[in-house]
Amino acid sequence: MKKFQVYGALMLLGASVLLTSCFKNEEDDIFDKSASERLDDAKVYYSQILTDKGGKWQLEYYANGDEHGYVYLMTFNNDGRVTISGQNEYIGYEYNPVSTGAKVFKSETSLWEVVGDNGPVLSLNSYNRTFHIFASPYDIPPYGEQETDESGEGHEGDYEFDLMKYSNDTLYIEGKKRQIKMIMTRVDANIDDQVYMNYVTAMADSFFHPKFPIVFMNLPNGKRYGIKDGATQIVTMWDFDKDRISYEASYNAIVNHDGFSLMEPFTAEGCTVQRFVRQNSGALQSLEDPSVTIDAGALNSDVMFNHDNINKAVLDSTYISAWTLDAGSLTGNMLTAYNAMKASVNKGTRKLGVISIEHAGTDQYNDKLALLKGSNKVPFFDSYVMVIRVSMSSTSSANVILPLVPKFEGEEYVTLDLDEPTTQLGQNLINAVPELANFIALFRDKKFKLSAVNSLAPTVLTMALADDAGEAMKFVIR
Amino acid sequence: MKLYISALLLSSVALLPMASCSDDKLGDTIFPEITDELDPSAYTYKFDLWLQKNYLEPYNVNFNYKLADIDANMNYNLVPADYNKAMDLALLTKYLWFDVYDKIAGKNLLKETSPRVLQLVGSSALNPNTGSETVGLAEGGVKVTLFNVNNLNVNSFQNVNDGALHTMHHEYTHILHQKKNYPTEFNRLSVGRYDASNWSSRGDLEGGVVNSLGFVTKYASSDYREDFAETVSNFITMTDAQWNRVLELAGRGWYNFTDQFGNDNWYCYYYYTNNVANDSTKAYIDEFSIYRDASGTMFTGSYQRAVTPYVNDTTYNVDGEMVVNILDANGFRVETAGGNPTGFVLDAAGQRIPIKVYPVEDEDEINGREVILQKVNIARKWLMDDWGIDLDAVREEVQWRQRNYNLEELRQQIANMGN
Repeated sequence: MKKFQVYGALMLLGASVLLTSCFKNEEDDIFDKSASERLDDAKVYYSQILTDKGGKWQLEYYANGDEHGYVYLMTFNNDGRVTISGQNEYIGYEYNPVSTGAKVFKSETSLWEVVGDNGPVLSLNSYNRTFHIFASPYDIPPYGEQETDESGEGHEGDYEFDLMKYSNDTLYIEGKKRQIKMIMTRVDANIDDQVYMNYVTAMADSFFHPKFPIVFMNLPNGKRYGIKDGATQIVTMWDFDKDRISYEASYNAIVNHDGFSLMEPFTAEGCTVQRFVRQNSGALQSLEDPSVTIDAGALNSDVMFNHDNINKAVLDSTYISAWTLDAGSLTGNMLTAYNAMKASVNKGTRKLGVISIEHAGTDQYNDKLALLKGSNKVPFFDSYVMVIRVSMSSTSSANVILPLVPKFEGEEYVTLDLDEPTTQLGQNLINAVPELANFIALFRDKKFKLSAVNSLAPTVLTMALADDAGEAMKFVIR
Repeated sequence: MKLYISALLLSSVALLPMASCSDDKLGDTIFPEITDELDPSAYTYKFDLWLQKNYLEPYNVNFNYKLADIDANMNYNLVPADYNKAMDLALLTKYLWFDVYDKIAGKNLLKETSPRVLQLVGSSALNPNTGSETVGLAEGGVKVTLFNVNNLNVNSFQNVNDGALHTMHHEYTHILHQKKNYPTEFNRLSVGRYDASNWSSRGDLEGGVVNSLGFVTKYASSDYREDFAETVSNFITMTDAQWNRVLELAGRGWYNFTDQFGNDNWYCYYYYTNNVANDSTKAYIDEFSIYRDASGTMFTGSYQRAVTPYVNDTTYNVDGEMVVNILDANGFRVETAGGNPTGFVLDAAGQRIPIKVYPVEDEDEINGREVILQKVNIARKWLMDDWGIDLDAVREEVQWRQRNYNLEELRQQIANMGN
């Protein structure tokens, strides 16, 4: 009998399970419409977004994880056509296989469609010669030009994109095959594609100036990360307080019309950033966290006198900055003193040449070491110098080389501790031309304020007396 | 009493499955209503309408000129077809394939047997690992994919044949024999001579080596089913000159020579140095270096050379004047210039003696030409008996259309749609 009771209980349990299975249909649907209907709605929704307001978009396109991004402009038409404009070296190769790698602008029209898959998908599903070069299996550039044979692989780029999200005129998309996340931003439909792309190309070519191999990402807590190789758009970043070789990581990036973006978000010190917009100052400001910026760093210690940074980042000494005085920019007593010096120096074949502030870390000055006066002087082979170049004839010179120790205050101020000339020739010249000494005196132990128009690529520095802005001059990076 | 309760429960449980969902009703479909109405405002409207009228409605064929990733092998890097090329290829496919079979075998044949999907792909299907290239792909008789559409020269029927139409006829032949087997007699004609692994590296002159083995192309020598499809499709699409060339090459003997670099060289002709016939003077020559005289005798571009030392031979002519000739060591008269020997032997008429060329003996014991023709005959009979298709009529129609198609005229079909 007990056995029978157990069976009975089991059967009751079974009945309850069966009842449960039928009750589930009674639950309210989470969605008003079926999945298929919602997908259809999404296709219509994204099609409208794409064609809205003239339908012009900037796509920050990444073909794969090994190369930088490429900017494309796409204008989506309601009739199913899309005009795609680009300007890059691969378009150059596509249209002219013997191209030397010039960034060529081309614009072609093809077809587009939002199709359904697991979700809405933007499909650029007819051939567009400017765009599908990155999806082509053929070898571009032709084998032997610059890269290894890629036949069958090409650049492995996507031409179909899952439409993930739309917000504030920004579409977040993801390549279907490679799963690379990309961003499309709406642009003014009235802009001219070629003008726009020319601007992007000019930005990309000048944005990160090769003379500034290190720029800095400034984080809100005062921490900063070094950014190397910005000009290649495959940047290397590392905590600048740490060893670069051990801590660096590479990020694919793109220079677009408005700034600079990383292919993937960068996270450090509690901040996650990816997209940066160029400011009037030239600096880049994060869209995600405005307190994060990118610039060339302090104008005194990072820009004008960057020897320590170059050493720390284990970079080639050729990156150490050298600055040439733009004599035409001199004002006030500086100008007067310069003109007097020039008039006195220029006698016969003797001519005043360029004046510069640079690092003397190269061999060219080492043989003059013996002429250093006194043991308390900074060994000038590893110091900065101010050089006043004077040619005595077409074949000889008597440069005045003055060892210089910069003393920094804040990020903008520098006091120039100028020593005596390192060579007897230089000293003789000063003795013969007192105006030289007068000019040097205007620099010696004076505090200057540095400023620059572009804080990401400050190729021109204005140096003005700290207590008299009317006494100023410009130095241009060499 | 407990027994009754349990028994009652048991009966209730037994009834539950039967009653459980009896009130369920089928709701509305979860899928939106699908309409095949085309949008007249679409840029592709005329082409889409033309495809609807010329492929979908008469044959239930989807001509996919757009490429979605899911329509192709995701492991390959492919690009879509160019829109204009796709339009031209759609027109040519209809004109050179569908319309031909309609005319020869009636409207229903392709409606019943054609692949349901024709998919265009702009680029080649290049396999980066093997370096191989797929030009066409037939999947279960349902879908035929054509690659490399963007590189087609639509103004050259040869290019269209090589890049697309031949593939379509080839794949269509597969579809037909997958529905009805062709006679197994075909498979026995070249049994033992197929090479599935190395067919592509079989040495040749335009495929001539495999022709002499009884195959129309190298690919035909990979497998008997491919042989069948290649035989039919090439018979249909090859011009008379091309087909006759295949038969001519098939009748030749071939000699294989591996050079010092390890390259296979195949020759159909040889000569003897200085026309002296022995094994040590035998040399092979490619056919592009020989010429034929009016009688068809073959020669190289070279002449028989004299053998030193030379000797002077003095003779007297009919006027009694002494004539000095130069003879070579074999006693042949040698050509002179300014009294000096040039090195060439002259014949009795005073002409240089050309070096003769001979065809390589056909020693493979296969009459390649005959085998190919037998294969065509089997296919011809099978197509007629099982499908009502007159292969020769198809070939004749395709050949005429290949020579005479006017693309501009065909394009008007699309341009005039919807007017």
